[in-house]
Amino acid sequence: MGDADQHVVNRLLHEMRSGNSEAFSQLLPLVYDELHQMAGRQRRNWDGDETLDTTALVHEAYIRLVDHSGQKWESYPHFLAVAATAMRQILVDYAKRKHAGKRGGGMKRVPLFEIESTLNSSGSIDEARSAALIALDDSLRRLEEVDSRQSRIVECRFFGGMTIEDTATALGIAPITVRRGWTNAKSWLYQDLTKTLEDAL
Amino acid sequence: MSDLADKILDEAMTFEPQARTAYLEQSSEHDPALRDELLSRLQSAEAADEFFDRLSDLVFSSTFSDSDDEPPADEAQESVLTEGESILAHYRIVSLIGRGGMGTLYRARDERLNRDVALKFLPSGLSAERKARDRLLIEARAIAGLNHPNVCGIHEIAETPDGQMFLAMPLYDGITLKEKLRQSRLSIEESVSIAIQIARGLAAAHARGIVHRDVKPGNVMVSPDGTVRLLDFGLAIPIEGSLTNSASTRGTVVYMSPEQARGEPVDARSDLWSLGVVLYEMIAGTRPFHRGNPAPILDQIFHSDPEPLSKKGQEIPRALERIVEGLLQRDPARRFGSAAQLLESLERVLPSESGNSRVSRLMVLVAGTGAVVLVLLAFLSWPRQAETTLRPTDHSTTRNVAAYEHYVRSMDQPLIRTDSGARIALEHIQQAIALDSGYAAAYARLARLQIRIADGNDLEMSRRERLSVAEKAALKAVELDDSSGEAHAALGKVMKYTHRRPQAVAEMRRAIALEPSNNETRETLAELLVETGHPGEALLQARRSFELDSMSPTAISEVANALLASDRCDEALPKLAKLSSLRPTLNRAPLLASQCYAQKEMWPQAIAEMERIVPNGGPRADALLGYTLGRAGRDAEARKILDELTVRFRKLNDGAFYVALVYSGLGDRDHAIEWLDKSVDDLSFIADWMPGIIKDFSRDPRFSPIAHRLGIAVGTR
Repeated sequence: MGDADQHVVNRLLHEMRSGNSEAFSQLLPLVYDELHQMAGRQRRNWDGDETLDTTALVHEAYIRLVDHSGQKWESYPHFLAVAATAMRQILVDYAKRKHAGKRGGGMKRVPLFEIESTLNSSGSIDEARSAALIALDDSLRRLEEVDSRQSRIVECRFFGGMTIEDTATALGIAPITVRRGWTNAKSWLYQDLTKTLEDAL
Repeated sequence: MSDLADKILDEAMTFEPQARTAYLEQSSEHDPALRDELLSRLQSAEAADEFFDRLSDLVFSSTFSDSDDEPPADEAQESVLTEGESILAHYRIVSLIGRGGMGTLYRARDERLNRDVALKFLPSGLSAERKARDRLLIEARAIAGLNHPNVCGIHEIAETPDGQMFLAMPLYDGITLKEKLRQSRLSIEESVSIAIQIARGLAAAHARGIVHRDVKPGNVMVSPDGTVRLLDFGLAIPIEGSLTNSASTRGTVVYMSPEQARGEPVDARSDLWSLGVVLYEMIAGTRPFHRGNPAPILDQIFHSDPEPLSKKGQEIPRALERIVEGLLQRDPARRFGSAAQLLESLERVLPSESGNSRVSRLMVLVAGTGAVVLVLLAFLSWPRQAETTLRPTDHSTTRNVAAYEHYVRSMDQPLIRTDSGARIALEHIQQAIALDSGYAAAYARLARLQIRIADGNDLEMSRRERLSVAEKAALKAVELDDSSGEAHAALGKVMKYTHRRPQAVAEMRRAIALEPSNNETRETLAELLVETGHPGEALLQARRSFELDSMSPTAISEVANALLASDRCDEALPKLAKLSSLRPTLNRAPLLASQCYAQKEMWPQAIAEMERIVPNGGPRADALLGYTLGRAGRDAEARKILDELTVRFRKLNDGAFYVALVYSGLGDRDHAIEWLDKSVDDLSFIADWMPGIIKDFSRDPRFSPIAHRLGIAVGTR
């Protein structure tokens, strides 16, 4: 991220902290682009093939964007929350591309048990991961319609790997609300995903 | 969803899993409705937790993860060598050993020197990087000259004409430390012994200026004779322009030192941090940093100290704890200065430790679950899958090989399917107990076999007598090993069969807490929940069991059973059809499907399902056929079955319930109730395969007191 961009990011983060919800949607594309470039760079650096290393991506994003100074900065949780949403988009986009390639185009809903069976068989872990990400993303969209706050909590906790406290700060709610919301959201998603699984049976 | 329930559940989730149920029960002592809600929501929350852990591992495990078992995603890209193919004139490929983060491993014959070797082909991306190659060559040469017992040697490093680099290495027997940790907890002594050997290998390498850069359990090989060897020295080479894209550090960040995770230059002290993480994991049984999403792991590595080992609930020598603290210092300057220095401290923890190939005893460790693990034990205690505590002696397993053989033979599934086979199995398990009277798993097995025999045509004892023998065995199993899931599951099963269903539910929950991956226990709990009027939670449990094993026919039928009990026959039927096509010889699918059709009064279909039951389906199948025929108006055929079942009862004093079933089908309520009453005493009442019919009975007010004695629910909540 260039200095000018960094300046914009800092200003937007400041606005986010003071409760301007517009700031989030302006920040998201910036962070998304940055992550996207990072992912592209990593792929080229390796084999030139279409392999995304999720751990390496998060690792690099964390070091370059979040912890570059080794110090936690004031806007850290707010930034993480934006990065979490961007991370979700990157991972799901990638999974869909991968999946579409495998199936000869066209998206179909992925039954969850496929994930398990792909994992159990000798199938590639990448395929299982794509299926899992797409299923989770679908389910998360349905949760968003029911309870958008819970779906944000899932984004922060799952995709951003954020702590309860950071999530609470970023979303401007109490930690206990995050904790309960996280528990309830997981139960909801689990049941929703198992329903998908059962339907596929 | 009440606020109070939310609050209690929230608190319960902060406890260790084993303590949660007790906490909920204590918090809802005087409010059964609240208690039920809480228990049900706890199950759901725990299932979801576990699911998300797996999901997070899946999403954030790398394509080239720290795995020795996961194939890389771009398999197609790597050329696969075939058996018999020659490499550089003198190597001939014998077989593929595996694919992992560091490339592809083959077993090959070195025809020049007439020996078997391992050939490791490096990932093509690495082979193509000039700088990386040069460095790899230098380091491989250094390792090749090292010749240390704790370092995996290298015969040569070479490349194929098309530019693929490979290493030729000696072939070792054994498993990686990663697999070993997955199999069981290590004792303190063994952990220290392994750490000492790793430290020796590192000290030798560091002395020659070689840094490993990727010390982790997957790179530590433990041979059957107890020798520990470090693999993949110096292969974790950073690739220009990218912070994290070094060859094998792609994958987990768990073992990375803070300086390495930041992409800064590393020295020998970075290896010591990684060894600290490995040592922590061996001692505590858990990693010092979380799993899944790497962001919180990095956050912890950079900003917070791991939970002290002394809080991990077992006796850990203070000196050892200080060593781990000394290794996990974020500032390299404050860490142990060298592997040699570390070695000195480690050796002081175990003064009797004499060297890496100490005298060890080869023994067969016999796990109660039936898995035979051949291990080399230097020490007598070897806890089985203990996650939170280290048990000094383990009565679940036996060290008597003959006893174990009898135990294994008693588990032969095809054998047990017939009544005579079940008796042979019974003899085996009795022999096992005669050889080792402290063998808890064998007592649990004995209890189950007695129940199995009671379920067939038992000519020796009445059902009640048989079940009382089973109960004694199950109690003995629990007495010998209170922490054995199998023991509690066996006791729960006895309770269920003797109409103490609330106790049975409690035992099953206990068993699941001790052994969460045991599907059979979970499915029995689901059955009990249907019987006691909680089809909702039953469905959840059954689904979870399905989640854990999507190919399990019992899991599918348990889902259907719960759906049937919830009046969701339309959803149950397609699953049962699928199950029938998967496993045509299973009686349970047609039994349940028939009840679905009976509920919808579709008699031809109901009877057609019953006709799919394989001949000799036992009295249960006969009774259900009689019931269905009766309801369909085919009275003469139903009465014929009724007569057979009545004769059977007179002869064996067993099966009053089956007689009641047919009476009920014939519409003879008075006789049905009379025989149901008898079924309480002969213990033949089994509700779990026939939720549809129990609903039928429930319409008669006279059934209420009987249901109470049976411990089952009338109607569902």
